[in-house]
Amino acid sequence: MSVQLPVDLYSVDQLSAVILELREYSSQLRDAAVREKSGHTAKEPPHVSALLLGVLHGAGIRQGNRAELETLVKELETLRAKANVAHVTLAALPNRTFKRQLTVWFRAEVDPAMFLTFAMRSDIGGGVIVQAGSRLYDFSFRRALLANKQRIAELFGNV
Amino acid sequence: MDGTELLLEVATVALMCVNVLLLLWLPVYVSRKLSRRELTTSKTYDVHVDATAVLKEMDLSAVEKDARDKLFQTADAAAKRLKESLENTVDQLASNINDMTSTQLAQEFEKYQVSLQALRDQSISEFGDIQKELEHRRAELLEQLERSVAKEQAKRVDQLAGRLNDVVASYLTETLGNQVDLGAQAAYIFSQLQAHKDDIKRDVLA
Repeated sequence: MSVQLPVDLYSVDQLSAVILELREYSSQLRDAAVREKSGHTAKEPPHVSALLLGVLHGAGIRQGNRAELETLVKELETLRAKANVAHVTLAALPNRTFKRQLTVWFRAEVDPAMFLTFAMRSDIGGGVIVQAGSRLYDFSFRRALLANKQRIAELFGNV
Repeated sequence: MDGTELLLEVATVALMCVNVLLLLWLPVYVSRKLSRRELTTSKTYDVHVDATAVLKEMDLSAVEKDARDKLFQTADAAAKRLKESLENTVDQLASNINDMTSTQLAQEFEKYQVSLQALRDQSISEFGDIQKELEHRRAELLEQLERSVAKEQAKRVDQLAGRLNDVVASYLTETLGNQVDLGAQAAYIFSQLQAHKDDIKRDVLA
């Protein structure tokens, strides 16, 4: 079974939350099954978050199949352990749409199981700074401005 | 009146005195000679002439007068020649003195001119050297000033460049603040990511 991560699930923290929720959901399903066998009235089906629903949908798993859910939990834990994470810094906090666009791009161009973290620094002016592995890719406006410090200093000196 | 003219005047007066003395001395000398000749003749030769028999008293006085006249004429002529000679000598001496004076003055003037020219050349040369030294010094000072200005400018540029990170960051923060539109930057951001896609992928998967 191959997990197709939803676009809204872009960070490892979200993935951890999904795994916890999935375990809780699986546990509740198991309790409900035991209650049903013992003749007790079944509880209301547990609430499932949109994120988890997206994961289940992406994995093609029915909500009531506990065995598949257990397998999914293991896969997600494996995925979390081996997750490739890139840290994205922007001049402002991105909205959901922009996060989705970035996530789509990274999963399409770099790694299908890519996770991102987002940070904001207003002093970069614009553009993006990406930390991938041990390297930092600075495509910010500040770096572009400072690319020729000597020239800027000369211009300031001539003022 | 300078020394030369005074000398000439003294010489002229001396010559005139000599002339006068000659005029006074010459008749005496001649009469002495004649009387001595008479004595010598009378002593040396024993000639017995009867003057009265040869010359009469009148003839003797006439001869004496004639001799005296001739003596005066001779003395006068001699005095004239001496005077002419003296005048010629004075003229020539004056001419020589003038020539000598002119020559010496010309030589002195020439020496003065040469000396003046040498002094002028030396002054020009010294002024030229001073001017060259001033030009050299001025060029050195200008060069030193330019070096100092360039050094100071480079120092300030370096200082500014060193603080430029903070300056630009502060400027961007103050000017943009919360007015950043990521949507407007999306094209730039994705174009940069696309351009470095392979490097990012290699680092992520490494």
